[in-house]
Amino acid sequence: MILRLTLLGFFQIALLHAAESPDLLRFTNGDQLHGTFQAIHPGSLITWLREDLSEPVVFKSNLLRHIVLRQGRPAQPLASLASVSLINGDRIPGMLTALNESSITLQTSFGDALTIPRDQVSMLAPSPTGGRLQYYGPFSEDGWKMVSPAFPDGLPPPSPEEAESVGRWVFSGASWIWPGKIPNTALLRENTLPARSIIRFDLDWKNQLFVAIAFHADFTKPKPPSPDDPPRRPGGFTPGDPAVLPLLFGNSYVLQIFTTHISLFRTSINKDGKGAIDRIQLNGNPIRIGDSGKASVEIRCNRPSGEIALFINGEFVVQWSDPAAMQPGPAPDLMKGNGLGFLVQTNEAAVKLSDLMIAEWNGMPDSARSLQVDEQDIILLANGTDRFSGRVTAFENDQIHVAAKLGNFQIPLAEIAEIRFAKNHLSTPAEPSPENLTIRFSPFGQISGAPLTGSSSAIPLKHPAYGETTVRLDSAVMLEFHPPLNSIEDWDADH
Amino acid sequence: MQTIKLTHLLLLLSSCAIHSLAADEVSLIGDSHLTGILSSLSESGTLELSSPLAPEPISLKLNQVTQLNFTPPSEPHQAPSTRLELANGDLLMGSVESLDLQSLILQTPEAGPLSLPRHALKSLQFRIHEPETFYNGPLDGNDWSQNNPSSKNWYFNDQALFSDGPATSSKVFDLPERFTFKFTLKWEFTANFLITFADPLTQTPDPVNRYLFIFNGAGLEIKREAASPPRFQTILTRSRIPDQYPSKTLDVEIRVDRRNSRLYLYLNGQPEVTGIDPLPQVPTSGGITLVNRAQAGSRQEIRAIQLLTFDNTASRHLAEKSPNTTLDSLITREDDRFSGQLLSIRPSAPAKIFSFKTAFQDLPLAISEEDVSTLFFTQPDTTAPPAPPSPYLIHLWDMSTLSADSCSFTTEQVTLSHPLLGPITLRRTSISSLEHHPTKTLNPPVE
Repeated sequence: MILRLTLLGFFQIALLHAAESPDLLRFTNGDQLHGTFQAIHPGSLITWLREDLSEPVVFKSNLLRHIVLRQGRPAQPLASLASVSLINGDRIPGMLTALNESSITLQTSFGDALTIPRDQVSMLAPSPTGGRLQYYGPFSEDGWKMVSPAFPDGLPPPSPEEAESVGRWVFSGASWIWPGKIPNTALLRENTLPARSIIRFDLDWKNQLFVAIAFHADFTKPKPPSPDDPPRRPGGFTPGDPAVLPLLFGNSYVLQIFTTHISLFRTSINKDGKGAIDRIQLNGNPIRIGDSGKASVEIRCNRPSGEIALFINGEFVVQWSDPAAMQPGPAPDLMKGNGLGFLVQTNEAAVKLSDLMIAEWNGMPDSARSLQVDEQDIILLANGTDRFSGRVTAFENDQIHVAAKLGNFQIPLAEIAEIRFAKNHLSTPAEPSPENLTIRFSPFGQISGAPLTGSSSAIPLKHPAYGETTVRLDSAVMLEFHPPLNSIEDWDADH
Repeated sequence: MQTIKLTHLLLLLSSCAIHSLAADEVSLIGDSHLTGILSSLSESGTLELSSPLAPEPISLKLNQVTQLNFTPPSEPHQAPSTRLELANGDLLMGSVESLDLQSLILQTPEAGPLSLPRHALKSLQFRIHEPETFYNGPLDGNDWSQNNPSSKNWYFNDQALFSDGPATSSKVFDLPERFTFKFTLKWEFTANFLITFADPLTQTPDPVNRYLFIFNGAGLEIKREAASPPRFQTILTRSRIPDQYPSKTLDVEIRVDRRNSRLYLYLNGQPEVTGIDPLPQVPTSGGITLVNRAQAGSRQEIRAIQLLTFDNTASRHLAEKSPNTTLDSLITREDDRFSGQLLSIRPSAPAKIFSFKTAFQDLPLAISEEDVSTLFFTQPDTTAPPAPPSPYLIHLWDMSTLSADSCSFTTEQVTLSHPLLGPITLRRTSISSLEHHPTKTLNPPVE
């Protein structure tokens, strides 16, 4: 009896310690283990510590999906949003210190200076979005909520009984995944958008893409149906039924993205408490989203003026002006909400949402053909209006030198938001090493390479482009062992 | 001057159907309207209309007039290619002579040179061209068949190509990056057309990069053919079938923007839909092929084949509005955008030079007019209440639009008082219409 109580107590203490352990290890087979990351060794071995273990356990990284550090929270967030993006998808936090025709050097936020061949760098961002970042993630489920027509105030905790009746988004590392089953569950984030906002995110999908993105949503609920209302079908809303949009998002703009075209709506809850939909764009705008199953989407919305612009894969698609904003007289009561929502509107089509960035926007429309062109570097200023094209030649005295058609410019680095380098001058990314590790930072950024011997405070990485660099983990929130080269293959491991 | 009561005039009109092909039209409050020749419009608010209906000019009170439409000129106006928007929204077409820190000199075809203070300027757009036609055919029986061994069964008659069965013919053009392709289709019983454009016109059956226009019993489609798989992808479709065109005629206009991979379809003069080329590289060739796919015994015809220039750059940049009201902004034709100060525009050869000072150069930029798309000027204090609207709005044949607080007419000239520019004198024949809003107060007359 005493032994049983002791073991029970020990087990309860172990559980308590496990619950308090800061890190989380997820395996490729779906298992997960709380504990503390200790070290990484050559040969892709991870040392993991738990209080209930007599000694640290060693795992092989080829069975690991990722480690979430400190529950997705940094010990110290990055002090600056400046970064450099590489052609392999890395986005390395740091500030530019040198630049010439062949290489770029930056002082990283996590370690030493790094010199990278210029043809490996796709973008320099000294002051991305003018420094007005509001959110980047998702690195945790904090602040997110799921609703459906059956559960308008939020889905209850998952239960075995619901498996065949309620669809759920799945949080996995730094992304939300819609598995493609049981439609009409929306993923929401409340109180997240400024009045003028840039919303940028990556979508990956299987089969076809049909997703609705609600922005400036207030999530007003309609009145419950009365007994006099005609009954809905037993199955509820069919996938793609636009009538579900106002029920989920309330008063909102809703952008529908299909594989081949887009539509923009305004949903509302009228004074009778019933949902309504108005199309802002009369004809579905065609888009070129490609067959890759992957796209980067950027929505710019100026809520006070009703102007909305859309970019897909860095290419300008269309601008709209909400007719309601054009009426004479005092400014109408436009979308007052500041929420964001996502809804997949087709059956059996998995979708992954990642790299969501929300920033303030200065409200200026931009009809430039593309944010990146083939033969010229594009320099976007932090004032959000000016835009130069040419060849970036040097960095001296804190100024970027640009040789443009109209002359040579010297632009202070502090006034530059982004420099996008000419596509035709970029190399092709090398195949990552089988032992490749990606370290993700907060609020954003990542660096990848083959890990050498490292600890919980720092990990050296080796990369064919820039050699060896040591990464301090103060600002890191995730260690990812198999960054998906192909999102579909990666999903197959889980779903 | 004899004043005739309005009711008598209406009776005269109802009993005599008078049609004048060269007459001004006066619309009055309600649904009354008269035609004649406007002989004067005085500051006191009286309009005199010479009409064959009356021996003396008819005097009308201006506060009863809502619109005047003037006789079109015998020769069409050549509209200048530069459009100036004033701070009050008025538009002036002209060509820029020069500019300094105080004013802009704009040469207008109707009002001559105008000196415009900078505070009155809002934006300048360059190359607002009427499209230029660089092909209008078919020209004759050899136009589409000469030196073309594959051409067969298209015949020329009455400025059109026709055939009574399967036919094909092609022609090479030097198509620019952006162009408009127009043609009219006619059919006797059933329509079955295939027209390719941006076609390399290879003689082999292998897949090539080009666009295909298809119109048949299934509707209308524009496709993209590619040299590598997938061979065909739809760019846009329209479900209306030939039977839904009772006249058995269809005017087609396709505006092709190969720089931005977009195709804009117009049918019978109406915008229909925009399509986007799904492939990253657009077809770059210049051939066009006309194919009659109908069975023998069914006549089909293609006429009014036109190729025109197409440039939507300026309208796209104007959509950016004024990026910064405290600075001037200049947008180039290559989408660069600068904020700063426009110091001057000075004559030079071959094109005028714009001197623009940015914060990022020691010396001002010297930009050729050929490189400039759109200019936005510093705007005055926008917190001040807007001025009351002017009672007159005058439209010119060259697409200018001018507000006026007052105006007076003679047979040769119109003098108006512009709220920003003061007195302006125009040729009477330059005016296409005049709108009058009787509820607005007339200002003191022009001196």
